Amino acid sequence: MILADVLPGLPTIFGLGILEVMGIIALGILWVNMTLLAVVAFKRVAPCRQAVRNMGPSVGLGRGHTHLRSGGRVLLHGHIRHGEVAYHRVEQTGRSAGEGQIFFHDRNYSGELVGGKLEVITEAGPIQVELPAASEHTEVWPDAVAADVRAAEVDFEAAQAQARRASGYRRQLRTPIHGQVWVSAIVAPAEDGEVQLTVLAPKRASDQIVVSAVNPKLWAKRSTAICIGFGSATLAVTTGCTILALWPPVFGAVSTVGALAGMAALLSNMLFGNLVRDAVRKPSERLVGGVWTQK
Amino acid sequence: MPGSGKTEPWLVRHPTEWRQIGIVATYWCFLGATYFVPETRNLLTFFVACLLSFLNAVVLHNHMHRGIFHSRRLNAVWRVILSFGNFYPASANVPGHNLVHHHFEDDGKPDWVAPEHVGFRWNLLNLIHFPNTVGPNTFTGVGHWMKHTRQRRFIYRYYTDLGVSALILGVLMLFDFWGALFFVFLPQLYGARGILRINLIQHDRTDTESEWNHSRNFVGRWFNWIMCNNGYHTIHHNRAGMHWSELAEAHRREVVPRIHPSLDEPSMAWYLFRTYVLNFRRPETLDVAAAENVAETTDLAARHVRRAAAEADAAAEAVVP
Repeated sequence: MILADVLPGLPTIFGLGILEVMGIIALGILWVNMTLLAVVAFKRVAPCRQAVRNMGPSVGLGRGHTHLRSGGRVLLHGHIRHGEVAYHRVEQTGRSAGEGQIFFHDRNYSGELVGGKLEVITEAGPIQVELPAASEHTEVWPDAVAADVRAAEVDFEAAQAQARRASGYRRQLRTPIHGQVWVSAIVAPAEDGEVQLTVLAPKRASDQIVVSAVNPKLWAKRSTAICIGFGSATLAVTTGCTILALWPPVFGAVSTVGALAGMAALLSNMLFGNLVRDAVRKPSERLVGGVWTQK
Repeated sequence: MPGSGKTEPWLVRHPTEWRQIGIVATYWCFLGATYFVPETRNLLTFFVACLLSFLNAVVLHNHMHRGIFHSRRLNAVWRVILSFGNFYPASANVPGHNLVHHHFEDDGKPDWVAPEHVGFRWNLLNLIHFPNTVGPNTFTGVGHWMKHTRQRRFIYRYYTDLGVSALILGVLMLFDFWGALFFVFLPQLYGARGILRINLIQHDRTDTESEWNHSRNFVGRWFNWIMCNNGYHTIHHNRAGMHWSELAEAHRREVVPRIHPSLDEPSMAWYLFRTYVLNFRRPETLDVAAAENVAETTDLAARHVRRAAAEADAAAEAVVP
């Protein structure tokens, strides 16, 4: 550090001018913040992977079998032949300033298992798994939530009048889960041993049942790729900006472009960091929002 | 005020506003000196400019709660001046601070600047990183709010604040890029990020669901003189319409009997050093709200009533041209 740069009139120590010192400070600010943004993205990988790892070994599509007898947690991949097995719910509040639109924000996410029969093909052939009805310790992952879902009997004018009040207009989006599903649960043999199995009703958090309309392993892979991609790109961009900013002659034209790029990268990357955060949320808590426009 | 026996101060709505004007004028002097007179550029002037930029953000906060001038046009000009000081649109404070943060999560919507947005185990990193996540939360949220409320005047003001700030900075960079980057933009950025950080400092490990223990207060006398009483944060949340010059007395009268002692800090500097430097981990959560349960009740209106009043105040400020 140079004392002359701290207080005028004091001697120079390392022979750096004030602009060089400020350049070091600016690069330090860039690197600290960009590294933190990258680290936060990298840190999101482990919970995503852990969430899927905790679902247990995969059983389905002709693979897996022996785990079923142990009564341990497994990730079943199969089909619900009749009706819906679960519902994903989003509680929302809508607000409006009039003009024919209501804007919604999410308040709460929940899931409910209504029960049903899941057909799974193991190494040994098809089996049936009885799923219980449960609303506690149940997580439901929908493929997508249609934000324009609304009860047909609700009149837009009445909803908008409510949405203009401080308490807002409340609605619930309900997404049914049916067809191809993934179920993570603790299973136990039923009467017919390994052909008929049953999922234990969850009584505590460790018994949690996850019913998903998306492949959890693919979700984890996609989330991992997004986080690692963003983190790596952040560090690469920061390196690029630094190289440009230090391009000789320092404070010349190329160096100026590097500084401008660093400014833009820092300001925009904060936004991208939050987009990554939202993109890798668990499907059960994915942001929905939505707008209801009067027709 | 005719007939009241009191004369209103010239130009400003309260005599103490001259302190705020003085702070901002001093900040502009530092920015001007370091930009136009290269001989004044040194680390000391840079650090002072950073601190003054933070104070500019404090003044901006106060102004967006209650405009400081009688004249609405002057208030609008002052808002643009303050926006340049921190290189962000002051108008963003209306939805971002007055309407969302002041209500915490009462309406089920997450507070854009809640301390829970950061989660490093090394607490110092939380302080450093906090603006990186709550800044974009706020600006994304303000964008949605503008889309939803469609207040043309607000949108005009927002882009005026932003546009004029960007234009001035752009012109300064055109003539002296490095001087403007190091001695204008960096102090602006420091102040803007500092005022975001204050949300973490004032609310981390408090109980935002409680009536009197949702905020941490810094009660040093000199600190509050220069900070225009922004250390008294509990009473500011509970009585958002109260003028900042009255907060100290109201804090002593209403907050002190009801607040957990750990939320009434004598010194911010010592709190920061103790919490973020001496301690590696984030502090434990205490049952701070217990203190208010044994105190006498007050005439404090219910939270939803206060929320409605804050919205009315914000709406009144929003019609400033």
